[in-house]
Amino acid sequence: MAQKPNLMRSGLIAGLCMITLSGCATLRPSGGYVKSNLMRSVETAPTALQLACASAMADHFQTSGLNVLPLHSERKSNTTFEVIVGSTNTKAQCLINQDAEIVQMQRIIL
Amino acid sequence: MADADVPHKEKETIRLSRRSLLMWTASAYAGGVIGAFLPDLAFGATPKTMIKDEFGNWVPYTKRRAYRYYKENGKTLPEFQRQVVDFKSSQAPGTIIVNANRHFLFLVLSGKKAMRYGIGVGRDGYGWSGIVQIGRKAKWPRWTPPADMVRRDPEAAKWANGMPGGPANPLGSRALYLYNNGRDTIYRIHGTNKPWTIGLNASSGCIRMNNDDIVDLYDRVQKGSPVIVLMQGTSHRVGV
Repeated sequence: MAQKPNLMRSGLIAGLCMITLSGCATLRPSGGYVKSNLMRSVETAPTALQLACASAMADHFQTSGLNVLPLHSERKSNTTFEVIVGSTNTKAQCLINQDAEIVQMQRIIL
Repeated sequence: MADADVPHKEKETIRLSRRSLLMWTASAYAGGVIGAFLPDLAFGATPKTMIKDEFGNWVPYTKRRAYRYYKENGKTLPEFQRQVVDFKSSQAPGTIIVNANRHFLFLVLSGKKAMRYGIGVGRDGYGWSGIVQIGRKAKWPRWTPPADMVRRDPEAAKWANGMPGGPANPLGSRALYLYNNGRDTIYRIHGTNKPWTIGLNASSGCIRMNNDDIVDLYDRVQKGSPVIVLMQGTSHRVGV
C-alpha cells in the first residue's frame, strides 16, 4: 500500500519533466538565429568613407596618401561620421557625410 | 526590446591596454622582421559583432554561436558570403581593403564596385592595421607555426617543423603572403580548416577566408597588389 504514493509521485515527476522538455523544444525553434541581422557594438563609418577621409587628409596636409590610415570612426548623426585619420606624425579629425563630402577636417594636437 | 538588450555605444577613449602594451613591446622587439610600423595609442574600443538570437535579443557573435549556426546551415551568415557590392572609392581596381572590425575584405573592381568576402581576423591583442603588399602567392601552402604558437599550443607544437598543405592545414587551399617594403610581415590572407570562424576575431593576426573565397581572390589578384588593413581598437600598425 505504501508503494502507491511513491508510484504516483514518480509518475508526476516524469510528467513534469516531459512537459518541461517539450516546452524547451517549442521555445527553441530550429534554425536558431534571425538571418541577415548583424550589428556592431560601435557603428563604424563605411569603409569607403574612412578611405575618403584618409585621402582628404593627405591632400589637406600635403602628406603622402600611402602613409595615412583611418584609426577610428563612429557615427555622429543620422548623416555624418567622424573618422580619426593619422600618419606617422600627424593626426586629424575628419567629419564626412554619407555622400562622401568632407564636412570638416582639423588637426588633432596630442 | 529592453534597454539592457541594446548594445551600449562604448565611450570614446584613448587607451593603452596591458595587452596592447605587451604587443607593442613585442612588436618593437621584432621590428627588424616586421619592418616599419607606428606604435601608437589605440583610439576607442574594438567594436564587437552582435547577432539576434532566437528570442530577438542582441547577443555577442561568439565562437560557440558561430559554430552552431554553421553546423545548422552548412555555411556562414549571409553577410559573410561572397558578393559584389557598390564601393565608391579612389583606390585602383585590384586593391584589397580589409575592414577587420566588420569582418569584410573588399577587392576593388572597376565601375565603383567591389567583391566583398567574409573574413576572420586577429583576436584581442593580435589585431593590426596597416598598408602592405602581396609579396608571394601559394597554392595548398605548407604551414609552419610561429615559435610562440609552438610554445603555447600543444597542437601546433606537433607541426613545429611544418605541416604539408591539405584540407586539414590551417592555411587552407591558398595563401597570400603580406610583405612590407619587400620583407615578410608574418601575416597572411589564407583559407581555413575551420570555416565557422569567419566573422570572428579568432586568429593570431592572419586574415582567414573560406577556402572557396580565397581561391576566388587568389585568381583575381597579382603579386604586388596593395592591401590596406583597417582595424580600430588596435595600436599595432604595419607599413605606415
